[in-house]
Order: sequence, then structure tokens, then C-alpha cells
Amino acid sequence: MINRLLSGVFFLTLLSCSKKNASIATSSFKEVPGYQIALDQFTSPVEDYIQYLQNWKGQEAFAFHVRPKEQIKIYGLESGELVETLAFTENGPNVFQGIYDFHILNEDSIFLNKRYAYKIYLVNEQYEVIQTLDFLDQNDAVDPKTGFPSSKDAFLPVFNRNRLFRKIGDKIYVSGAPNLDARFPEFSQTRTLLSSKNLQSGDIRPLLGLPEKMRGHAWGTFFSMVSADYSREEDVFVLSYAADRMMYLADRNMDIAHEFEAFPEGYKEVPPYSVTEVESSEARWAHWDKHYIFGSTHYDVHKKLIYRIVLEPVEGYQPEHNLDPLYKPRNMVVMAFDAETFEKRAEMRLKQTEEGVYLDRCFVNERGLNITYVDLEDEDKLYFKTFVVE
Amino acid sequence: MRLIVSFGLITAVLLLTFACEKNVRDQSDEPIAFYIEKITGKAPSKTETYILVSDYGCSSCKEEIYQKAESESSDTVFIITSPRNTAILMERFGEVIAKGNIYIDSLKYSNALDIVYSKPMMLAWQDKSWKIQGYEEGS
Repeated sequence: MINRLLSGVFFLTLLSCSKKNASIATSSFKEVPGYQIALDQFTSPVEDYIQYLQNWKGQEAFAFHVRPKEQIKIYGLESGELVETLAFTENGPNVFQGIYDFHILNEDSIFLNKRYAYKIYLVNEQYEVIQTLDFLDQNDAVDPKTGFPSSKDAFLPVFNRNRLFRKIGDKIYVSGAPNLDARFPEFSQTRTLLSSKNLQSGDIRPLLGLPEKMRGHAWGTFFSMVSADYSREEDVFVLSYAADRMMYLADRNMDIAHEFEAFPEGYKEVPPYSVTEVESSEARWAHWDKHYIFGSTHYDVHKKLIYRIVLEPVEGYQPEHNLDPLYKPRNMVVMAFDAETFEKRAEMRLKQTEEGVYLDRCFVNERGLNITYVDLEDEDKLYFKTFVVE
Repeated sequence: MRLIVSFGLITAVLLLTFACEKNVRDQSDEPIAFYIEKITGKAPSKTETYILVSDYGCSSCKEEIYQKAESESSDTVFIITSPRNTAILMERFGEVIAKGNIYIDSLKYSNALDIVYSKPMMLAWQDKSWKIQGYEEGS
């Protein structure tokens, strides 16, 4: 009996040590000179559709899709100025309507996502359609009222902000919004959080669902999300689920190669929905408000680090919600993990103030991790605050 | 002890009086009415209906209201709260703005005053008070 008790204590100690180790940072973040962009009058600092461009006609750039104008605006990061506007409807042979997400592979290969038509167009520099990628099974019946397909295997390609679009070989890998209601446990069985599509054959392969431990429960739309990044150099995906303290490294088949604990100090687990939350919209908002939510992840091949963002619970009670990202934003915690040992290297808390707001819209380049910052006194400028681990 | 009971009674009577008064009074000093005044430059009119819509609302419900704003008669006033980009809205609604049918909360007073709604809302004077309720699609 005493032996059993001692072994129990021993394992509990081990467990507590391992959790503690996961929370201790050995270095810290340091801010270095970042970037400042002078936005034109039509570009909002909180556009939903954005992309960091390592090389746009010889310079590092950042692109925004200004949806009401049907234009992609490209700003040079060094100059901070607008360098080009891609007016793909006005200046091309095709009238594109209902374009949401975009991905610029290079100046002659741009993917435009007509999201609710389940189609992605690949266009060239003259905005001519080179290929139409269909994400709807032609045999699938579509509800005439909602326009949504009946198949539970269907998904909307969605790759704005922290979700993923990558062309790897002859396939694209794209995040999806499953055709299921996230209020119910059925959603947790989906395999279409990330899928691949073969550009030659057109075959779609569902690749990624929720981790085993999250299945069988309801989590709601926000906590069912996964953010991802892909390192071309290491040929590895990093996955960050919104409600899971673990992070995962996966191959192109989404077979997990490694998992590690990646949560901040003070983190509290997110529980799945209770019956009350399934039934009440107000309770669902409260569930979202009062829990940490993991955001984007970024693989830094230059510094061999993996970053993970987590947003803290909302401060104070909010009876109603405004999806303006600048309204009562959550404080943000940024963590950096060694990409080889997976030990936590650094952790910092970015507190939101009345002067400005940090947003989980980040990119990595040789300088470090660049985090969007909006100056509330001057929203015509957009900043990227750059941080390195020392 | 007697003092505590008396104090309790007085408080209860005061609260009751306040509650009754609140039910029948013109609620023009309520935050929402104050907000309308702040945006439109005049006290809300009892003969008009006000529709508040966030620029961050769902695309389809927002668009339905925007189209309504472009064609609606003059007894409905539209207020766009939390604009993502004022220049874009000005470009679209320039003519309607000139008519005074639509206002853009470009300084985001609604956020500052915590006048925040998840869905489009309709404010109207009914039964001697301002009533705010969810805007129903197609209404």
C-alpha cells in the first residue's frame, strides 16, 4: 500500500515537473526596429485578408485584399509605401465577384477564393483564369435556400489571416470550414480542417481533424479552429489548435511526428460546451470570453524557433459582442519554442492599451517575429513590431 | 435596530419610486438616445426609426441593410457603427449621406460608449419609450 502511494506521489511529481518545465522560459523577447506602413485611404489596418510576401518584384512586401474595392493592395515593407494595386476585376478580362481570401504565389500566379461558390481561381499577371479549382462535389445536392451543399464532407476553403494556404509540389494545402455545426459534437469528427487538392487530377483529400482527445465533444466555431504554418526547408507543418495546450508537428499526410506542451504561465484548460452552452447563444459568447484561445503559430527557419500566440480571456463581462478587432481586444501572450528540443525559450505578455492594439496577425522574416500593431490615434499607419529572442 | 428598519424602508420606497418613474418617463436620456444625438447632431425623433448596423456584422445581413439604406424612405435613419474604413463607406453612401438618411460613426463613439450589438438593431419610439430590438431580416 505504501509502495503504491509512493509510486503515485512519484508519478505526480514527474507530471508536475514536466508541466512546470513546459512553462519556464530560458531567454526573453527583445524588441528591435520594426516596420511602418502608410496605408492609403481605402486600406483598413484590420483588413481580414492579408499576406506577407517575401519577394514582390524584388522587395519584401505586405498585401491586403480590400474587399469592397475588389483590389489587392501591396505595400513595400522597407519603404512603407503602396507599391502596387491589383485591380483584378477592373483591369482583367474577368469580372470576379465574391472574392474573399487570396494567395500570391508569385506575380504571375495568384489564387483568388470565391469562397461561397466553393471555387478558387488561379489567375496570371493579366488576371486571366489559368485554372479553376472546384471544391464542391458535382454530385452533391445543394440546398436552394442556403446555397450550402448537403454533404457533411463538404467544406469551404477558408485561408484568411492565420489559416493556411500553401502550394507544395503539385498540390495545394488549404484550411477549411467544415459543413457542420460546431455547436454539436458531430463537428469534432470532421477531417476537413485542412485538406489537399491535387492541381493535376483535381482530387481532394481531407487530411486533418481535431486531436483524439477533443473528439466526441462540442467546442463551438472559435475553439474548433486550427492555425498552421509550413516550413518548406524542413518540410514540416506546425499545428496549433485553439483549445489545445499541445502543439503538433506533422508531415504532408498530417501524420503527427512530434507533439509538445506549449502553453503560457497561468493557462487554464478550455472545457468543451456544456448543455447550457449548446442551447444558449449568450452562454456560448461567455464561454468564448472567459477562456484562453490559442492563435497563430509560425516556424522561424532562420532562428530555429516555433512561435505560438495565445490570447488571454476577455477582461470584464460583455453582454453583446462586436467583432471589431480593435474593440476591447484581448491581451496577448507570445511564446517561442526551440524547434529542435521544443523547450520554451521565451514568453512575453503584450498588454493592450488605450493608445494601441497588438493583433494576432504576424509574420516571420530574417529580422524576427513581426506582430501587427495599430496606433489608435492614427489608424492611417500600420506597424509591425519586431521581436527577437535573446 | 429601528433605525436600520426605517432606513431599509426608505430605501425600498425610493427604489420603487425610481423604478415606477423609469417605466413611464421619456427615456431620451438613455445611452442609446444620447448616442443617436451624438451621431446625428439632434435628439432622436419619435416619428423615425433608427437602424444600427456594425460594419463588422455578418456580410449578408449587413449587405441587406446597406441596400435598404440606399433605397429606403426618409423616415428611417441608418447608423453604421464601427466602420472598418470610412472612405469606402463614404464612397458608397455619399448621396444617401447628403440626404441625411445614413450616418457613419467614423469616430467609433459606439465603442467608447459601449453601444455594441452582435446583430443589427432597430430603435423606435413605442408605448412612450424608446424600444430597441433585433432587426428582423426582410422587415
